[in-house]
Amino acid sequence: MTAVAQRVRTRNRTRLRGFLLALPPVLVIAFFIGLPVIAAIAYTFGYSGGINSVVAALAQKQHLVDGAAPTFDAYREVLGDSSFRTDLLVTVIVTIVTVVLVMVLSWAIALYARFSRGVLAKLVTALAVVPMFIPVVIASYAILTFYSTDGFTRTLFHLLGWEDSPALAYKMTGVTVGQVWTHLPFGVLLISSGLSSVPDTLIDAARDAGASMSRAVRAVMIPMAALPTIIVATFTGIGVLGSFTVPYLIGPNAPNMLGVSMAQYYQSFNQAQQAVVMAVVVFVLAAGIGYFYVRANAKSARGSGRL
Amino acid sequence: MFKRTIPLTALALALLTACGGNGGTASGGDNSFTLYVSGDVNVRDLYQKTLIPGFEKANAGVKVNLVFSEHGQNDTSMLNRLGASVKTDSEPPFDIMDAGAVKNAARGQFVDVLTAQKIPNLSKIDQKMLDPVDSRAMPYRGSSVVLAYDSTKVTAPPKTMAELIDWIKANPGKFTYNSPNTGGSGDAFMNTVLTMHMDPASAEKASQAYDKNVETQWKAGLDVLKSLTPMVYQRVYPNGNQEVINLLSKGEIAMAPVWSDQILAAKDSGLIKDNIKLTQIADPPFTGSLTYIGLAANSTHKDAAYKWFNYVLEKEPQAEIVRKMAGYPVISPSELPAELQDKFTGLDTTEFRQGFETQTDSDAKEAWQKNVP
Repeated sequence: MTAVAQRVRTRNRTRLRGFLLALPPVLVIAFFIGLPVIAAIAYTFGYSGGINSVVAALAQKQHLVDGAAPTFDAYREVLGDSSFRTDLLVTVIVTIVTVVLVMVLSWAIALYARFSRGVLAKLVTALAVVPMFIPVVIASYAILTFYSTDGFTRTLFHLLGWEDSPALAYKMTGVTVGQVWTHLPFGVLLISSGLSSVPDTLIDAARDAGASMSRAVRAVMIPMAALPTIIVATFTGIGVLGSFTVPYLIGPNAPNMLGVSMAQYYQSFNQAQQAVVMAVVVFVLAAGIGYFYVRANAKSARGSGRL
Repeated sequence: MFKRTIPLTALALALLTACGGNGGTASGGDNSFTLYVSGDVNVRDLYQKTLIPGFEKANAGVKVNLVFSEHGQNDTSMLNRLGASVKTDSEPPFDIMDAGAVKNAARGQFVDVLTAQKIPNLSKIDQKMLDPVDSRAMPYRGSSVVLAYDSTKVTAPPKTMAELIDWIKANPGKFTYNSPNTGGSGDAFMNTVLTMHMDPASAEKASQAYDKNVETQWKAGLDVLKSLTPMVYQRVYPNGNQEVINLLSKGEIAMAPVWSDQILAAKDSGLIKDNIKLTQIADPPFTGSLTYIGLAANSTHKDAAYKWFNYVLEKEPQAEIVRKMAGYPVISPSELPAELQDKFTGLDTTEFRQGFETQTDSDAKEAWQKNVP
């Protein structure tokens, strides 16, 4: 036996051991998540047998197949429906706007806390993290009453003489405020910890070499905090895409975000198949966002020699 | 290596199943059965404080296990578990179901056909109430949607649906109803406007069986509903029956459709003051609905369960339903004590209009959602 073959065998054995160690969680995930996902996707293509038979016996307006060939009618119906397309558009816009706002706000707060170590900076950071400890339902109700037509902001403007100030409640702007509210703490925590791990010496070196403050931020801090930034962006995006409570409580009756539409189709309209089709659309969008997360992680792992 | 992994996997599976199993399964001897009940606190109180103690007293030795789900959060999963257990012929998650989903269970034939041979008191019930569910479920209480109005602001309340619509348009911001998919009182308002513009035969058909053809007559009603959107309070439809009652109690609105049992209970608790009065409108009246219970087709405790079905139709529990939750009795009111018979002055408890059949109602909610807000 050559030394090379020996090494290959040892490596294979290590790999097998690693795989077996990971096997229990993999099996659990495959059984409790993978299988239902596959069954649900099969249901959208009209397969109603096996574990789909119960839901297929109850739902209405289904597009089912008898043979092996899948049907795309459920997709055709949902994607062809103008109110679904409006809901999808609204969902995408709210997601993009929220991600941008969360990024800008958390970077601003994190930078401020990184450079100014005063009491005010600490207070702002702490305040930005507070929403993490408030349940989303309570927060949504609070936001709703705060911005409603008889709420705090309107009352204040009314006292100042502005009679028809806008009410944000029951509008997508209010939903966006709620989304930023709920996702900001995570962004602030992650980015400020990313920024605090940038050594002062690096920034000082850049400044000594003649870089302006904004140049130092752009050339040193942003690249070094790239991974937390991408994590915040992707997690916020995925979280907003699938959110239910905030748009359900703060949003208008229609159009609203897809999380609310899915619940309506599933519970109120008894159209489980259409609800799952919407879920698949959200899943595809989220997978698209997830791709950036995985790529950034792989890049960082390669950079540190773990891959 | 495998020796170590397999028990681990088994352990993980066992743990997960243990966590998921909080719904409880029908267990115990032949003299016990499990009730799955969904609803608000008033429903839970009715069971825990009145019906179950009364039943256990009347049927010594029979034990009732109650599984309660607030606001019916577990209805869909319980329905799916029942369906799965019927298809695989295994133990059902409960024996008797009191939830809106029981009508879906009747359609899927997951609950048994009920007969007067097994349940003698079933003969007290009008057959018309059993037809929409093919006798696979039995009503035991009812309530209807009524018009609540603030008598300090409205001196002459509307008497017909057409008058009500005129009133709404003449008083912008003073009326609202909850979005139909979030509660029955808003659903009843939608149903009533849609029914106004349907021919009587189709309207009757829509309450009995699913036929998509009648839905073509909804266009005119949906247009009326859409024209009301700028007139409702804050131009947005609130979520849920209770939200509407809260707006009434705060004086934000002066008129709204509400559930009779919910508003009467709110009056009893003091949330709603005496200035809020109730009336029923005509041409057509708001719908009412019956609460059905069903028996799991694969229940192994049917004999004990039949005793429950028979018990809830007795005079005493029916009178308690009127007393404790302001519900309507399903047996003839003349069987009830005299002092309860005038509790519903101005409201018709025996002859209320049925809402759309379940699947038709789902389609109506979808049509509302796509056209009205």
